[in-house]
Amino acid sequence: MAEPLRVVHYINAFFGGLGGEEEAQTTLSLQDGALGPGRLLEQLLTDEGQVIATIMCGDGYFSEREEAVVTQVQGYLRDLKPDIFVAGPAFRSGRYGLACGRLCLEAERLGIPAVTGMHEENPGSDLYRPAHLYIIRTAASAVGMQPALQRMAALAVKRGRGLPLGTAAEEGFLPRAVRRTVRTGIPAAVRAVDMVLKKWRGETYRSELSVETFEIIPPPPPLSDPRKTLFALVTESGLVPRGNPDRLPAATATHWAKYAIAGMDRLVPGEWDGVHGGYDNTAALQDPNRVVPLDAIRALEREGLIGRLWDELFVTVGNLGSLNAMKRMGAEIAGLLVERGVGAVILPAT
Amino acid sequence: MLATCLYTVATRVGANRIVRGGKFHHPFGNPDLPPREEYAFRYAFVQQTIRALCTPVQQPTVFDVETSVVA
Amino acid sequence: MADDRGAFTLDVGVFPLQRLVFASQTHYQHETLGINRAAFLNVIAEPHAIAEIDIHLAHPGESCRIVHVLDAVPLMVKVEGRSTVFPGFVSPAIPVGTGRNHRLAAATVLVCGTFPDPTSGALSPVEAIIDMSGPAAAYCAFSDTANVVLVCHAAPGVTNAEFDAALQRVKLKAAVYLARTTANIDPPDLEHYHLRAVEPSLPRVVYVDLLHQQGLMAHTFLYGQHTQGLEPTILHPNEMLDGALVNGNYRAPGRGITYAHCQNSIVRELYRRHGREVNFLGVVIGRGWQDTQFLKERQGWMMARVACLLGAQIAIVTADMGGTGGNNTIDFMQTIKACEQMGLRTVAMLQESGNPDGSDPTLVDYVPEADALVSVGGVGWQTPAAPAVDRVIGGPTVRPSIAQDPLDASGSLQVESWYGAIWKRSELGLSAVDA
Repeated sequence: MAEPLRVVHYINAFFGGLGGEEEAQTTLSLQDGALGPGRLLEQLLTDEGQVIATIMCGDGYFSEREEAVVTQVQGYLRDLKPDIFVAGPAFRSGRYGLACGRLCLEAERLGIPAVTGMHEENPGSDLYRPAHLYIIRTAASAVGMQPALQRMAALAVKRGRGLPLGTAAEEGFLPRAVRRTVRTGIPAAVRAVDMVLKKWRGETYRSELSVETFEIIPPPPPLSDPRKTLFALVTESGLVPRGNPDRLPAATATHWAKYAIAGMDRLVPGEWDGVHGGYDNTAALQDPNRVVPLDAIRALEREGLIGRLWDELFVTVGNLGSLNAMKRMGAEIAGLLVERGVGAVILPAT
Repeated sequence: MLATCLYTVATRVGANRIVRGGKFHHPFGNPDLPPREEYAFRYAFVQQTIRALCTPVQQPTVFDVETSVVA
Repeated sequence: MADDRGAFTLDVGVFPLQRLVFASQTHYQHETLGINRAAFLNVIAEPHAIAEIDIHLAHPGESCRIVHVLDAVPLMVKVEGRSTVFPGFVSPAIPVGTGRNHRLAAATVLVCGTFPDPTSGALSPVEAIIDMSGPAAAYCAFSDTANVVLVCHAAPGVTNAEFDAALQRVKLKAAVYLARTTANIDPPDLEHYHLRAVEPSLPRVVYVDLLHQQGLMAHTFLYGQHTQGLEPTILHPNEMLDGALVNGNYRAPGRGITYAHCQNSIVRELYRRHGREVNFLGVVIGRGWQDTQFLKERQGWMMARVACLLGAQIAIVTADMGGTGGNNTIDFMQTIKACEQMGLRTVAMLQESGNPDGSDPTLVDYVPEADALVSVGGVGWQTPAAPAVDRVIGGPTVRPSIAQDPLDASGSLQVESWYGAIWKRSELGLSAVDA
C-alpha cells in the first residue's frame, strides 16, 4: 500500500467559513490540515491522500494583490512540497475561479500536479483551459459540491500517482486544449455518413470536434442623432503611450487601461507604441491615426457631425485573447462609459 | 461599432455593426496611398462608421467603406 | 441526376496482386505482375523533360523507405467503352464514367523526383516518405500495397513546369500500361457502379469537395487541365473512379493523391448505401484555397448553389478530401455555412492541426453551422519514430523541414507526417478526443 499523497488545498475565505462583508478582504493564510470543503475532499481521498495544509484567501484580497499572493503561495508550496495541489471548487464564482486557475498554473510550473473545479462559464475556466490545466466540470453552485470533489479527488490521485488518464469526458474535466488520437475502428467515411443520417433524422449525435459558439448580442437601436451623441474610442490594438505605462502584454491580456486624449487633435507619431503581438506595427508607428483615427474623428467633431468625443482612449490587447477575459473587460469599460453618458463606441480592431 | 478587416471572426463573435476597411495592420489607414489620399480614405471610413451606427440592424452586419451594406 | 437508363454505368474487374517482378515479358499471371524493364521504359519515356527513369519494386513488409514521393496512381485501364481512364492526359478530354475497366488491387505506381529549380514559400514541394515496414508503416499510405516506383530525374535545362507536365504523363501511362496486362483475362471479381433509381423518400446526398489548387506544385487536374479558375461543377462518381481528377499537389505529404481521388472513400461509402439509406446524387467540386475573403465566401455559396440545383438535401463536405488547414479552413467553413443556410444538412470531415502533443487550437476558423464534424485527428500528432532501413528508393537524403539540414534517408527518422497520412488515418478510423 503506497503512502498517502500529500495534498495542499486552496479555498477562499467564504468557503473557509468566514462570513460577513469583510470576508472577501481576508488576508492570505496557511493553516495545517483541512478546512471547510477540504474535510470532504480528505474523506473522498480515503487513504490515498491527506490534506496536509490549507491555503485560504479572500477573493477581493487575491484579485487586488495577485502577484504578491502568488509569490507567497509559491513560497508555501516550495516549503511544503506537496504531491498534489487542489484548488476550489469555485463553481460559478468568477474571482474565485480566476484565483484557482492562477494558483494551479503556478503549482504546475513548480512541478506539482494541480486539479481544480469550476463551472464551464466561470471566467477562470476560459482563461486557464488553454494553459492545459485540469479543471473538473462542476455545477453552477455549491449544491454540486459532493460530485465535484469526488471527481477532483479521483483525478488528483491519478495525477499524483502518475497513472494514465482517461479522456476529458471520462474523467470529467473541461476540454483543456489538448486532443488525443483514438482508434475508433470505423473508417471516417462511414462515421460521416452515420453522423449526417442521425442529424437528418433529428436523432442525437455527437460531433467529434466542437468549438465555442458565442451568445447572440441583440443589436442596440441606431443613433437617433449623432450630432447630439457622446462618442468614445475603445481599441484592442494595444496602442499605448510610449513606454507602455500600464504594462499591457503582447497577448492574452486580462487588463485594460485608459489614456487622456483631451486637447489632442491627432495622435502624434513617436508618442505612441503598438504592443499587440499579432500585427506588424510599422504602419501604426509611422502614423498611429491609422489604427486609432483620432484626426478624422476630431474633424467630424469640429464640423458638428458628431456631438463630442469622450476625452479618454480605452485600450487593451486582443491578441490570443481569452474570450471570458475580454467579456469581463468589455463589461467593465461599458459600465464606465454608460455612467459618463457615452452613447456610441468606435472600436478599431487589428 | 467594430472596425476590422477580418470580419468573419467579428460576425461569428456577434459584433452587430462592423465596418470593413484597410488591412488588419492598419484598419484606418492605407500606406500605399499618398498622405492626402490616405487621410481622405480615413475620413470616409470614419463617416461610414457613423452611418453604420445610425443604421438599424437585426444581426451582425458588415458595412464596406466604398460600398453600402455587404452582408 | 439519378439516371436509370444506364448512361453512367461502369463495371470494374478487379485482379488480385501479390507480387511484382522484373521479367522478360510484361505479363500478369497467378497474381504476379512481371515487368520487362526496357519495354516499359520505352512506353513511358518523356526524354525531352526526363533524362532518366529508375524503376524499383517495393512490397509490404520490406525494410524499405521510399522518399521524395510525389503521387500514387492506381493500376487501371479502360477495356471497353467511351474514352480512357485519366482522360485529358492519356487521351483527349472525352467524358468518362462508363464502360468497363480492369484494375489491379492493392498495387500502385509511385512517382518520385526532385524538381530542378529551387522554390520557396507556399508553392514548394514538401518531403514525403513511405516506410514499407516498421512502426511508421501503419501511418503511411501504400505501405500495404505492391508499388512500382518510378524515380524521375529532370533533363538539363528543363523548367519545373515542364518537369511536372512530364511527370503526369509518365505516371499515368505507366499505370495504364501495366493494367493492360489484364485486358484479355476474365476478372475474378466484378464491381458494378451505377446509380439506379431509388425510393423517392430516401434523402438525397451529395459529396462536396473543395479541391486543393493554388498553382504549380499545388495543382489538382480535372480532365487534364488544372483547376485554378474552376467554378463549382458536378461530377458523376464514376468519373472520379475513372481518374477524371489527377493530383499534382506536393505541398504537404498528408494530402492530395491521385489514388485517393480514384478510390475516394466517401464516394465508395455513398455508393454502398445508395438505394438503402441514401439517394447518392453525385459530387460537387470547386477550387478551394481562394485568394481573398470575398472569393472564399463566394466559393462557399457557389458550391452550395450547385448542390441545391442538383436537389441535394444532405451534403458531405471536405476540402482536399480531408486535408483542410490554414487559410483554406475559411473556404471550408464558408462552404459548410452556405450549404446549411441554403437548407442542406451537412457533415464535414477534416484533419486537426495543433502541436505534436495535440495541444493548441486545432481549428483556425469556425462557423456555428459546422455542428457535425468527423475528425481524423492531427497527422502530426504522436507519430512514431522510424528505425534505420536496409534500402532507400528515391535519393540518399531527406529534408522533412526547410529549417533543418538534409538527413541521411536510411537512418532513423522522426517526421511530422508520413505520405498519405490523412487518407490512411481516415481509412483506419483514427480520430481525436479532448484529453
